[in-house]
Amino acid sequence: MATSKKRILIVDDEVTLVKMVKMQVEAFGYDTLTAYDGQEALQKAHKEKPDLILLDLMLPKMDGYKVCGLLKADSRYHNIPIIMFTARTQDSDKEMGSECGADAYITKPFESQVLLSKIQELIEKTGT
Amino acid sequence: MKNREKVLQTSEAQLRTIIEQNPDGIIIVDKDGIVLFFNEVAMFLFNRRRKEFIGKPFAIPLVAGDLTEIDIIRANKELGTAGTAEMCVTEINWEGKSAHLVSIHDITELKHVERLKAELTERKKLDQLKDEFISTVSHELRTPLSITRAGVSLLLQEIPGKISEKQREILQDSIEGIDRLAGIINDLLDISKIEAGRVELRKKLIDISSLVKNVISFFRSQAGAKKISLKTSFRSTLPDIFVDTDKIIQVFNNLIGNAIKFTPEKGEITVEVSDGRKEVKVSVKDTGIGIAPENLGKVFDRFQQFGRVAGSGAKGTGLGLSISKGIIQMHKGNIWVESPPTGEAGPPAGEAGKFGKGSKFIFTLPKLSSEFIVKEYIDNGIKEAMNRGVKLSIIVISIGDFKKSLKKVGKEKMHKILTNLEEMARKTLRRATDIAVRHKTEVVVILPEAKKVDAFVVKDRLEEAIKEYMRDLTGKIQINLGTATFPDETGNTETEALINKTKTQLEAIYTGPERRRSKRRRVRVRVRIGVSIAGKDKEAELDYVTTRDLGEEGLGLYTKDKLKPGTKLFISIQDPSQNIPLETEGEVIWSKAFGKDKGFPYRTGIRLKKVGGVKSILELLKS
Repeated sequence: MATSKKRILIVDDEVTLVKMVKMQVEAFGYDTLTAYDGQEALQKAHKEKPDLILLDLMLPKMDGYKVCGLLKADSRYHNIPIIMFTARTQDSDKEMGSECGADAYITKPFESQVLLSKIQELIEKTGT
Repeated sequence: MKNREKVLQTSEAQLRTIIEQNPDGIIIVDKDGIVLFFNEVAMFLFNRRRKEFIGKPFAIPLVAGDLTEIDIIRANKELGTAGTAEMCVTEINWEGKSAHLVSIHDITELKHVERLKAELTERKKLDQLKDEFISTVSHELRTPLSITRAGVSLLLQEIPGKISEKQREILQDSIEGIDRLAGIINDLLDISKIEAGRVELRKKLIDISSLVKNVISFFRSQAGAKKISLKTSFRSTLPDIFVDTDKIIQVFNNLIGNAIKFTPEKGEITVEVSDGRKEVKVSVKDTGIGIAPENLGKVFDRFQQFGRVAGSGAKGTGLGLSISKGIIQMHKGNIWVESPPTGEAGPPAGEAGKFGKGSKFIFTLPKLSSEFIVKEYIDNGIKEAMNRGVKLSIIVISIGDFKKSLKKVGKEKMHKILTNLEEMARKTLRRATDIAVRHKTEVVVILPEAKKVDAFVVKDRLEEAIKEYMRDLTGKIQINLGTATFPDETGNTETEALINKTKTQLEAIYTGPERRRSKRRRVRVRVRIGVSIAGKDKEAELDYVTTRDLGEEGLGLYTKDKLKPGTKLFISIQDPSQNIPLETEGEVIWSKAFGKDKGFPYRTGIRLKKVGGVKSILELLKS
């Protein structure tokens, strides 16, 4: 397997949060891409084909469910694991998330260890 | 002549009755607005006496053909009460002159109901707004909280650079504060949802004792840190309860968490579960500071943290108990608290431990009949199927010729078989939404949102498990499996109809083992237990085996220990009449106390691996 770092697309409209998550994810040893709205997220996903996407729900232009649904419905991208940031597990958020095909959910605010283990789990699952 | 007069009189009387008894007020007003005629009801509606009415101005402008709402004063008490009426005006001829016929319909009550309805809708709208407001605020609060937490966490991980111990301590405290705030937001969301009635329970049949055990083990270290002993007390076997597991765990977390918080070091917390006639009763008792009697009624209210002084450690949100109450009430249960009266005013702050009589939180959950559960579950599944265009599949496990089988195996054994089948079915299920319930003399497996093919996958697994189980069953008994899918196979929304549908395609999956004693024979056996370590098979000899019995299905042994089903064994069998031992592999199917021989108290059944193409080991040995 090539040793190039895996790339993670971070999508959130909160610039500061993206900055923080980016630092965190890079500290885990991944490369990062960022997007600040739904459309940008979709474009970046199409163009860059990241290895994983961290997707917020409430996004300008196109919400997280739609971005997730569109990617998961497309055979070219449906293998990209998507972790959704939700308000709370067991919320209707989660139900909608599972309907649009997200692979995992993380509750905000999240613990870095939880984020890392979810990322590792999903990247390993699809990575080989 | 007289007759005619009588008829006339009668019809006049009838007319008067109709006018007087009419619930609407009737008034005749001439073109100048002077009242010419009125009935009793009109007097009542305008609170006027006869002489205040007749020949007096009506005082309300009239236009023929109009239908208007007017204010009225109904004769009631001295001054009368205000009301509303609908006034209908028609032009008529009265004693040769044109006049107005005014009909007055009292709509005061109608108006009142309308107003109430409007208020209710308004309140509902407000509730919804409140609900949306809280969710939005929660979402909005979460974002800056996430930023702060992520930032502090980065610092703690020393990603941007090294930090001192003092700095670490401060940052650690900050993270705890952030997590507490996140907890409050979650609780607020929960309570707002409960109050708006927007929580949907995902009920499942669960074993409450294992749930309690899990919850307790989660709290062990927390209790251990305060040297609090955490005890459980279950009465006999407990029935399964039909609840939303996550929600009930939340209640336990609240109650046990509180108990630990309010119990001083070396205290004791007991979780007790008892089986009542109609309900299961759970209590969490502590030896903490207790609750002052005047506060007992208020502990389930929101943001009430009086009386109970937390020791060190995290403070609560003051919402836990009201959330718990909401959850229990949604399950149609009750929750209350008992605390021995302290005899004094509420325990003063900082004197924790002084009123060490503790408190006991108790909640009940109704025991529901299997019929009820099956019906509710299938009903919900069908509703979902219709609303969302998904399917609902069920599998029914039944016993062939139940009456005859019952006679054959006896009531007690039959009960055990059914219980085992139910348990087996439950173990086979993989999705959280699927349930298996004993329903009369059958076991019904309900698979919401499962297509026919999905049902067949589950059925295959079930079949496998049942076959395995039946190996151990003596006596001839037949087990049938049937499936049905809504709406593919039946559009009928009745629970029974769906269950009956499964009967049309029953499949007998197993007929009990037949003993072939005549074919059994004594052999000499050497058995080793195979242990696979890091891919290499290591063997430990199982030399504590006595008399062995070889049959067509496998091998019966008397063993010193109870062997775990599924244990792989290496076996060499030597028939006394032959010299060369036969090497084969086997698997433990069952192992149970036998009690005949003290040295070898267990009888163990082993299934032998089929040896290429040969029907049985017996035949192989014979050849």
